[in-house]
Amino acid sequence: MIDFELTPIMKMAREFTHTYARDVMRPIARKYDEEEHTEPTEFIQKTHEMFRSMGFSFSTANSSGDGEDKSEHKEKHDRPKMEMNLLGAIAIEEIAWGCPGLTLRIPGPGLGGAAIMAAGTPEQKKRFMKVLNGPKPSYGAMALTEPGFGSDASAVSTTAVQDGDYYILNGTKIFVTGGDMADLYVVWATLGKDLGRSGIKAFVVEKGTPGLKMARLEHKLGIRASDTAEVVLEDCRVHKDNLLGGEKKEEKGFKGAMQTFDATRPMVAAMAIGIARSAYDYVYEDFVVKNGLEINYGRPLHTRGYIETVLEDMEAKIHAARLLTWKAAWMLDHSLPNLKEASMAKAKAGTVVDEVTQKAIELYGPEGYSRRHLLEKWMRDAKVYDVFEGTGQIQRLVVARAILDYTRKELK
Amino acid sequence: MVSFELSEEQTLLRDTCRDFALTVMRKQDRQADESGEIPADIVKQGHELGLTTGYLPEAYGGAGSRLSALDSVIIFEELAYGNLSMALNILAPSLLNIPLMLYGTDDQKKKYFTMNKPDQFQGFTAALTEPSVRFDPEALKTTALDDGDDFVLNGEKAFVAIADSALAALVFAKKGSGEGLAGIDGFIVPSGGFAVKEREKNQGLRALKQFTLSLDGARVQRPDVLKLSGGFANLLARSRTASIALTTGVCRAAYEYALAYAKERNAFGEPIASRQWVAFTLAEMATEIDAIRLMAWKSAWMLDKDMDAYKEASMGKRYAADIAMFITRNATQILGGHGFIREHPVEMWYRDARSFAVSEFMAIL
Repeated sequence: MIDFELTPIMKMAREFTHTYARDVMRPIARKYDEEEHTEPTEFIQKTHEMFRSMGFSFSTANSSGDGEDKSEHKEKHDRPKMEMNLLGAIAIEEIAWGCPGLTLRIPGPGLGGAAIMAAGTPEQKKRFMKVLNGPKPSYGAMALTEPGFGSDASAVSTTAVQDGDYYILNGTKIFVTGGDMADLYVVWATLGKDLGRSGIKAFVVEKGTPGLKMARLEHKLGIRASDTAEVVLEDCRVHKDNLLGGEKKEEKGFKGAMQTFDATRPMVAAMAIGIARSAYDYVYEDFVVKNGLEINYGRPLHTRGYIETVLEDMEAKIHAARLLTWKAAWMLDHSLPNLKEASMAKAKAGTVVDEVTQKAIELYGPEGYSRRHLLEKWMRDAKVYDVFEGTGQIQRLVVARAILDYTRKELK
Repeated sequence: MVSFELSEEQTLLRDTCRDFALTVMRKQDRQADESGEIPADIVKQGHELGLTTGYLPEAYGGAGSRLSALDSVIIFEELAYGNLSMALNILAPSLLNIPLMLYGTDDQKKKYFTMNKPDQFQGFTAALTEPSVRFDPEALKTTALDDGDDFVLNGEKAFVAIADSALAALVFAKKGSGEGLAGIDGFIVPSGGFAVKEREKNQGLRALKQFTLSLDGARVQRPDVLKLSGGFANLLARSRTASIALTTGVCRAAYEYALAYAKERNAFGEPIASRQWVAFTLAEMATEIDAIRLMAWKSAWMLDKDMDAYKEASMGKRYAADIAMFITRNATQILGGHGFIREHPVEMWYRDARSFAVSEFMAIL
C-alpha cells in the first residue's frame, strides 16, 4: 500500500541530525573549506561519539552496526527489521545540509565498508565491520580509480600476484575519499589482464601494511573539508583472507562489488539533495522569511514574479529528486533490485544540485558570489555529486541499458 | 511506514485500465483526433468501467466503493496513456459528482447522483476557465448575484468539456464580494440554463468537445448552490493532482513509443538507441516519468489523509507540465522526420501535452 508516512524513528533521526548539522557543522563549515587539509579533529571525535552512542553509522547505512548480514534477517521475516537505507537517506540529507565536506569526514564504514558489505563473506563482514565500528573513530576507504581510468572500472591495472597465502599488490590509486585517515582500504586489483572482469578482485588492505603509502592529497574545487588522497601500493602483501568474497571463482567478484553502488548511490543522491536544500533554504530565508516575498503556488504566471517562480522550481526539483531517492532506498530495504532506480536518483539529484546551487547565487546577486556567504561554497561542493560514484553520464548509461534491455556492447 | 507498492486491488485496477487504454482507446485515437469526434461506444465502454459512478453511495444507485485519490491517480495515468481526450470525456461526470460528494447537501446528492446511470453515459461537466489571457481562478469575472430566492449568474466560460450534451454544469462563480479562492462557490446549472456557443478549436485535445458558454442572467435556485465554504482550494488541489497523473500517462505513451522506435530504427548500421544522445534522453525521460508519478502519488496520498495538498499539487502540476514538454518534444525528436508526420502518434501527444500547463479543472479526483 502506497504510503509516505515516515516512521517515528525516521522523524526523530531527521530532527536530530538536522539540529546537529545546524548547530555543530554549519558554524565550522567555512573554516574547513578555507583551511583545506586541516583535520577537523574535534568534530570527528564528537561526531563519532555521538553516532556511536546512537548505534548508527551514517556513512554506510546498509551495514548494520555489528557487521551482521541483513539478508539473513530478510529470509526470516517479511520485512527488514529497520529500513536502514531509507533511514540513512533521510538522515544524511540533513547532515549534508550542514556541510557536505564535513559529511564525508564523518568516521564510519564509508565506501570501503559498503564494498565489504556488498562483496564480503560473512566472516569478512564481521571482522572488518568490528574495526570500522570500533570505539575509536575509524574509516573505510575505497581505492578504485587509477590515473589511467575513472568511469571504466574494468580497466583496473593495479596487479595482484598470488604468493602462497598472500597476494602482492602493486599500483597507484587516486581520488581515494578519506584516503589520509582510513583504517582500511578496499583496493581493486587484477589477477591478470587476460582474465578480464572476472580477474578483478577487491582486497582489504589495513592501515600500516608494509608497502601501502599515502602519496599526496588533492587540491579540490569543493568538499575541501574531506581529503582525497593518492595511495600507492608497492609490493604490498595482503593475506588471502582479505580477498573480498574469498578465493573461489564463483564468489562475488567485480559484479558483486559493483553492487556496492546500488546501496551507495541513493545515499550520495540524498547528500546532493541536502546541499540543494541548503542553498534553497538560504535564499528562502532572505527573500521569503526576512523580506516577505510570497510564493503563490498555483497562481497564474502573470500574477507572479521571477524570483517566486524560480524558488518554486527549485523546490519542485528537490522534491522530485527526493522521491526518486526514497524509492531507490526503499527498494533496497525490501531486497528489490534497484540498479536502475539508484542510478535514476543519483543522476537526477546530481543535476538538481548543480542547477539549484548555481541559481541560488544568481538570485543573491553579487552578494551570492561573495565568500561571506556559503552559497558559493555549496555550488563548488555540489559539482562532485554529479561526478563521483559514477558521473551523471554513467548513471544515464546504466538507466538506458536497463530500459532498452541492452548489453554493454549494444550501448557503449 | 513508507511504501511504494500498489495493493493487489490497485494492481488489478491499473491492469484493467491499461488494457482498456491499449485495446480500445489506442485503436481509434488517431481517427478521433482527426475527426474531432470520440466514438460513442468508447465513451460507453469507458463509462462502464464505473470510474465516475463506482464511488457514489449505494443509497443513490452507486456501488458505494471507496473514493480514493490514490486509486484515482493510478487510473488516470492509464486512461491518459490511452488517450487524453477520451480520458477527459469519460471522466467528465466526476467534475460534478466529486464536488458533490465532498460538499453537497443530501438533496443535491439525491438529485444529481441518481442521474448517473452505470450503463449509460450521462454527462456532467464543470465550467471554471474564462476567455481571458490573464485568466486567474482567484479573480473570476463570472458573478453570482443574490436575488432573493435565486442567484443570478452572468459571465463567460471557456473550454467547457462536453457542454453540448451535459445534463448539467457546475459553474464556478464569485458570490458577492468574496476575495480570492475563499469567495468562490459552485452553481449547478442544468443544460438550457447556459448558452452553448462555438466549439473550441485547440492545438491538441482535438477529439474532446469543448465549448465557450455564456451565462446571461441564468437563474440558479438556492438548493442548487454548492456551498464550498472555502473548499475551492481543495477542489483545485484535487484537480491539479489529477493533472499530474494525466501528464504521467501522456508522457509514458510518448516515451514508450520513442523507445520502441529507437530500438527498431537503424542508422549508420545500428539501432539509433545505441547512440548516446538517444539513449541518455530516453533515460532522462524514464527518470522524470518516475518522478512525476511519485509526485502524483504523494499528493494523492496527502488528499486521502485529509492533509492540505494545495501546495504539493500545484507545484507538482507545474513541474509535470514542464516535463510533459520535455518528454513529448524529445519523443518527437527521436522519431526525426517521422515524428512530424501524422502517421505516428507522437505529434498528437506533443500537442495534447501542451495543454497541461494552461488548463485548469479538466478532471478531478
